[in-house]
Amino acid sequence: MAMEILTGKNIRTLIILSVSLAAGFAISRFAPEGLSGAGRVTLGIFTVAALLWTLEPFPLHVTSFIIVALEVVFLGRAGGPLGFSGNQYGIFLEPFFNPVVVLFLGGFTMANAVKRYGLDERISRMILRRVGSRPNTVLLGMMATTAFLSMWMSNTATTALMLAVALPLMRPFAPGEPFRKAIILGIPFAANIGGMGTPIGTPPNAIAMGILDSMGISISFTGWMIRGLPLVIALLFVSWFVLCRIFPAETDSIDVNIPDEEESLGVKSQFILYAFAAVIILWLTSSYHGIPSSIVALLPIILFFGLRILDDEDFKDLGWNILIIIGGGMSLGIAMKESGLSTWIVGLIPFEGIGLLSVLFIFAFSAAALTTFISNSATANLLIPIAVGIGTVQPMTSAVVIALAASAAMILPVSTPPNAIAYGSGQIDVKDMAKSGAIITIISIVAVTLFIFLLF
Amino acid sequence: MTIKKEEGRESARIEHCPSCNSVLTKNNIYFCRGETPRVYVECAECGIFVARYALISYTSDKSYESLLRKMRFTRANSGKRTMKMIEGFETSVKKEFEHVLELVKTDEDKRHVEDIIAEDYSNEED
Ligand SMILES: [Zn+2]
Repeated sequence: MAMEILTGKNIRTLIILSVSLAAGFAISRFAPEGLSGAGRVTLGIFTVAALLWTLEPFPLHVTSFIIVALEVVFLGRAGGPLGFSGNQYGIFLEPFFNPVVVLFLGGFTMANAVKRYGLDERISRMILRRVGSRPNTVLLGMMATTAFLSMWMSNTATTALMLAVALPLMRPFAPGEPFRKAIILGIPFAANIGGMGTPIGTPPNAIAMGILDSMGISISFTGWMIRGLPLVIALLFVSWFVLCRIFPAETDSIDVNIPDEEESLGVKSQFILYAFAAVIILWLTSSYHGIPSSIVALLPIILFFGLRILDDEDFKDLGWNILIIIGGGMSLGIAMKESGLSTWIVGLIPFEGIGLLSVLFIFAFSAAALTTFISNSATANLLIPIAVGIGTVQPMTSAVVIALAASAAMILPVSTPPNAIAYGSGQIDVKDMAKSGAIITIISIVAVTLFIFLLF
Repeated sequence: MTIKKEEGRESARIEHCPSCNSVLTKNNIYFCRGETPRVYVECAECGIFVARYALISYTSDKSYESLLRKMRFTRANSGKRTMKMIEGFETSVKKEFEHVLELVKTDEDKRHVEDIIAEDYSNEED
């Protein structure tokens, strides 16, 4: 029994966990003056979270559970440093089923229904049949389709789908042909960018919304899209342009031979599409009818599972791990706010004399740098709670800038799952991705920061 | 990358026709929307029913394309983990295939498949 658990991998896990806990303990013990007792403990928990989310000894959601356990045991227990009594510690658990998490659950349900009935593939084929035959237009069509789907579905699933659709079209091209590389890079880049467009596009957006929500600042579905969608469109064109320049096609025309759909849409498929449209309309109009977007998100859950369009297997498949990762980030954010840690950290950074715009640039750049090496969600989980503490910048502005910059992870295959999948095709080098990705990342950071700062 | 399993944990066997004992089989895959696909194994010699399997994951010789199919239904969050999974995927499929061929040649498990599976479960419970 013990032998089965103490395998080589688990020993490594235990070592990383012990070292992280020890580092957290040491930091909380020897934190500089000026930090309250609760603040010190939270700094320790933050350190543990940062180490575990960076070194990844186990899946990211396990870290979320560890954060909650540490928060309650060392901060929120009755008579603990926060002075809580009874079950006030519940504030650390609430993020796991708060409105943003429910909103995501609805989004996951819709995405699963669309995938389960192959509608994502149909949509992609429908668009690609209309892109003509000029290589650059085909690339733009592929990227636009990817970005559109990834606004509603996970970036990973969208990349996998679009590469599966695109690769057969690439067969006439020699391996190494620049256009092939442009397509294989364009798809993950567009998936990363598309995630910025809606609140449910990618977890960092949810983390930003959730942390703002806990501060009493709410941002509506439409409010997010007004900020995100123009950036998606602009960055999509920028990335397309960069890829066309670095990997120019060597032919004038390619054969996009996608046959027309043979089967007509089934009743269930039609129902899913109508329900999807209805939910999006309700999301975009919530200021008129007053029903919160998270409650609108219950509609697809009730309909699809109630009418057996999706079954128990699909329910298990709803991305619970992602929801737990998001919850962990928000829970950490609450501890940082309650203990005064975020204010303290912000006080360490000499913001006086630096313009607001520079402060935002620093955060956007840090987010992009972190997300190149660690997951987008972990980046948002660690940076947003700090950034919203700056008194001089609107929390809304800093949270949105960081969330969007966390999607600008185009440089390395390990930066995001979409990049990893594209790299796994064996048809691009790290150099190809780094070169084009670095340019796109830098332009993204500048565009995100300027757009959000100047317009909102 | 070599495959190392604990002593006594693994075994392999070739399926035989219960009637003519042939090892030549045909796999007929049955699909019905909303149900797990099932493989009906037919004896290629005498045509009788040999076994039925439920199909939960499928990998073809085009393993990258199989991987893409698989990734469409996973919600990955970590680029590092996805990289590891992808790196391991192709090589592990091929290595394990060779390993299994070797195993049935040198040390075939002679028990019935249902007995091997049943034993595996009873071990898990104690
Ligand atoms: Zn037979």
